Amino acid sequence: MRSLLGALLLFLFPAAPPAAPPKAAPEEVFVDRAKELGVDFVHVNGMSGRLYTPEIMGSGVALFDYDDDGDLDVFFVQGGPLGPQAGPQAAKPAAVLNHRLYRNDLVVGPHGERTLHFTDVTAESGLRLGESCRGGIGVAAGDFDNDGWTDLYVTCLGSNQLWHNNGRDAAGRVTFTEVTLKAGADDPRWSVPAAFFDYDRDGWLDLFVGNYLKFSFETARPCRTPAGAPDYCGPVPADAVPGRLLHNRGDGTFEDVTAKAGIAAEYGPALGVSTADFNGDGWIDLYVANDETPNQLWINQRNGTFKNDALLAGAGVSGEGRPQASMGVDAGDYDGDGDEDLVMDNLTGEGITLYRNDGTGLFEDVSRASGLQTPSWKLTGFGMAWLDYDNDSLLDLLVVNGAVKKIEEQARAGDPLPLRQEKQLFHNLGNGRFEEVGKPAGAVFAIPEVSRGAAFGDLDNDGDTDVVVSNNDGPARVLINQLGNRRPWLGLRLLTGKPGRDALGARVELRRLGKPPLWRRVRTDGSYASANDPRVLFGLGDTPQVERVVVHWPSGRVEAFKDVPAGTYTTLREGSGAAVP
Amino acid sequence: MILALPALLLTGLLAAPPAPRAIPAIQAIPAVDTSAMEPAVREQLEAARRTLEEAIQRLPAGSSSSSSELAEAFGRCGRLYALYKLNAAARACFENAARLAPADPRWAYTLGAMLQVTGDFAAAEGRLGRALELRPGDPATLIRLGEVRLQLGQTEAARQAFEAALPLAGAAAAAHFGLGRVALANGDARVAAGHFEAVLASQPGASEVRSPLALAYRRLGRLDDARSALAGYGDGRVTFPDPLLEQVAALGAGSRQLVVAGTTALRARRFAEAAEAFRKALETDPRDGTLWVGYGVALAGLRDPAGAERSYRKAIELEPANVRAHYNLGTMLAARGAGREAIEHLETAVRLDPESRDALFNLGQALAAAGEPARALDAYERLLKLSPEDPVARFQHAQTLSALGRHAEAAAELAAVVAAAPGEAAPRLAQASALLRAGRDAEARACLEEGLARLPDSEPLAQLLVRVLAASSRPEVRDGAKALGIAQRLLAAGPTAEREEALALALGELGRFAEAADHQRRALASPGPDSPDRQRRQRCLALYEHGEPCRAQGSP
Repeated sequence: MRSLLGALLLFLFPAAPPAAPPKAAPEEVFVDRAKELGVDFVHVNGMSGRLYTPEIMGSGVALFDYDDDGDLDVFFVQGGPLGPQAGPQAAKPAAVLNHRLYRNDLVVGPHGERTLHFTDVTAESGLRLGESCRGGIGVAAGDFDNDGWTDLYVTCLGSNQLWHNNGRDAAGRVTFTEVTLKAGADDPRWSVPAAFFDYDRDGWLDLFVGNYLKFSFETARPCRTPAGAPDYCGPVPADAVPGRLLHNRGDGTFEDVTAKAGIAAEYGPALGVSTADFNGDGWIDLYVANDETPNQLWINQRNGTFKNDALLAGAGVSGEGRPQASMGVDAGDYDGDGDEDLVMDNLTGEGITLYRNDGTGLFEDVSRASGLQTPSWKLTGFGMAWLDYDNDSLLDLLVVNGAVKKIEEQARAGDPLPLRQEKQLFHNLGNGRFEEVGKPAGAVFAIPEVSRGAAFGDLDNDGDTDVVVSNNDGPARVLINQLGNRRPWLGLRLLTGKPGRDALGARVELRRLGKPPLWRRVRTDGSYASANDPRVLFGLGDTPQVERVVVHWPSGRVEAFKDVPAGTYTTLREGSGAAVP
Repeated sequence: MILALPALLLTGLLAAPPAPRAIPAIQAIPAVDTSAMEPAVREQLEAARRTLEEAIQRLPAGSSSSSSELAEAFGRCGRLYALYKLNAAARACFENAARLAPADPRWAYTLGAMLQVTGDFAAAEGRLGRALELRPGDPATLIRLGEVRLQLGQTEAARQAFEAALPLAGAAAAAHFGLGRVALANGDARVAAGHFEAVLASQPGASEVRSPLALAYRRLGRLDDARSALAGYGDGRVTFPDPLLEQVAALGAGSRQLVVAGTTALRARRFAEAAEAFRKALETDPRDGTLWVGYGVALAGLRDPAGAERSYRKAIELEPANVRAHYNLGTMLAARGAGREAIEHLETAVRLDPESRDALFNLGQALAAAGEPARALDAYERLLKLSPEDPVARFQHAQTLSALGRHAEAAAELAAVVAAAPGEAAPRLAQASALLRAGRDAEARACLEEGLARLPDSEPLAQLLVRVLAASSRPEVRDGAKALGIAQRLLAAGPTAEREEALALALGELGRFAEAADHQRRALASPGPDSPDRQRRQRCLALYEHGEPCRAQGSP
């Protein structure tokens, strides 16, 4: 018990800042190895002291195999100086203020030992931030022209960028060319999420671009805390900007079908997007997560149009009837019943929201009952995804956080960006509930940062999921999974068409002996403004015996594949399996 | 900047530390950076801190009576910090107040409410439970306790708290809301629906409840009811009286708190309260254009257009790029007929915010009213690019096409509006009118017949159909007998000039001129100025008296 005088002395000498995070323990699940792997990307948010909201919204990161050599490369979206009176960061050299592409130079030895290293190939790739982008925000990855090379779509505060992957040239280099205007894929408004998906089953990837808010430097002004101190602004729903659905014509160009498809009818400030077949009819639907306005669940009407069914489906607002911030979002079958459940992270004071799908596209808010909401209540989530980090066959959840309103204690300590929060890892207990295991799972989870983008994928092809985190105005993290592959696993790459592109939206049913099937989906979208590994990774837990793999292709075709080996990645091509009636 | 004790006081304390006290140990109050706060808030916080220090100094050794004074001082600090969302400092203050005055329910309750908001649910449950012990049967405490227990997954304990609150004054809606969610969590959709319906019966504005109500209906298989419930969904919250937190809110100083109060009052259409809040805020920040806009909106709500206009002009003077000020002033000027200046401000609003649908719509309206249909059309076309499915925008666009004589295009556009809003009579009427003006009487007749079949109670549709059937210049379109039937049904509802005239038209078409003339005289019997309607009726009367039907000259 402290004395009154002791308390008063503490008025004089406030408590010391929090201690440094503990050192990594041997059994950490995730360890940040960004520096030693050669990933030195540092995001620049362009903050000018004027507290422009776009400063704190970027940026995303993509994991994709840009050079088609079988491993995941990393692309970071860069911010940039904002506004006519940008601060000292504007003086940073142009080389710093660029998107960055890191080539994965993974070497696998004769006994499976892995040497992972990344090389910055931005300069030779041709990728660049450009002036018209006015600060990058997010990224989507997909092969829009079916040439077998994955392309990129970068969302910006200004004009977005569609980067065509030119493939490997005679000198062995893989380069990109910006084709935004030629392809009709520009959107000069403030865009955040984007997703490639083939909604009309014509074999070409279409593109949804989610737009956020109207913003102009001319009219922007800082908001204030309740005590009147300047702070970043929250969204004004009336300032929301509609998203855009671009139909791929198959000739390298897109047609804006937003109105024709019915998508223009309702919109909010979009921050997250997930494409999946939510009602189990075999057609890919679209879920758009909006900031503090109801989310939309666009159900594919199978005729080129969509109908928003979110409120009736129970996935538009929380169980209390309240819209939430909904930054990051992901769809996955966390409860093993064969349908796509939706999870999204929110503002401080809202907690994570989990909508459980009943298999018909009707959802129930089980956030509280799942144990996800309360531990996340104090945090503001951005990047997130379902992942089976321990390969026990159950989907867990990793969330990266960072506030959007100044945190008093950090501001008082002089932090110029006082929005830092810790990351979280939730372990699926298999009974509908989750347990937070972040801090024991890695020292990196205890480091407060302003995390935004997070991309999930197996960087070292060792059979477990790694995570790359893009921190606002800070260095990126590369979280390498240390122990997931101690359990058996099975990896798949699903290709459609010729020469073959990732079959985004395909659902994979892994049938096991004596156990219910496991369901996963080929996807790059989800998380926040980021693009994930398109491959499918099954943790097999204690049931390594696989009967067969059944693929439900986006085209509607269903095929079975037998003798798919565990412990490695296998490529399955549409049309090469046995038809399943 | 750290909020520290004044140097002299600290020196004094350090030089002569107080003797050990017979009071519970208290905890330190975390420092708060007041440097960037509004001066009024900073002064308020510093004054509260000084009061606290003085209370500590006055504390005599072994006195328990002074503990309550100190508790009060800590409590006031806690309330202020909580108000300004300085939660760590607020929590420490409340903890101290509660330790010093353990029988005072205010501190346990306010701390519990704050912990509920910050997500410390287990701690909140403890504090609110203590508050309830100290003030059994307090409705706000019971509601909050129920909410916290629901959050903790203690559904049975939550149910008990909500049940206890149910009969208490003002708490029924919030208690039903809680009980409904408890029932949903327990899988009893029927009971849940009943509770949510009770919320809406008690607080019809609590539109957020319509979402869980729809979920309950959905589970019961009542999909139509679910859709119907969702039609009124909105952000209206369920409320309950919370006097202790209202006292906290009333402590607010500085313009930021006044802005919050003013904005809240505006949303609730409490315009006098809003005007007062913005007026006070402007005393502190007279150069804040946003405050002037808020003040203007409040004055407009109080039917003081001159005051509102002055406020908007002041906002524009201070902030020439204030979109809302230009928009509000523009719409206000348009409403009072100052079309030219209205157009200027609305155009500025559109220039500053090219995606402002409201500004584009009102600009179109103002231009159309000012006799500039071509420019109005441009505004509507820009609006339709942004909102291609907005039927109102499309309707106005079509009307403007008509005004420009482009009747066929207008008719096509209106067909789309009719398809989008099949239950509305106005688009059908406008479509038929455009078709008639385009000389496509047969299509107009079909459009009206279809409309009347869907909307049989629409008199404007019936009136126009009678005119087409009885007076079209195209013989193949006319059907006097059918016109007569409709006109007779209209008149049966009671005589009006329009109904008498319609019946006369039908009778005239059937060659029953004497009866037609008789009804036409009744139509003309009502006194009125010499208007185009009256001139037309007199012309038709003359025709009937000469044994001729009254036909359309151009369109009916």
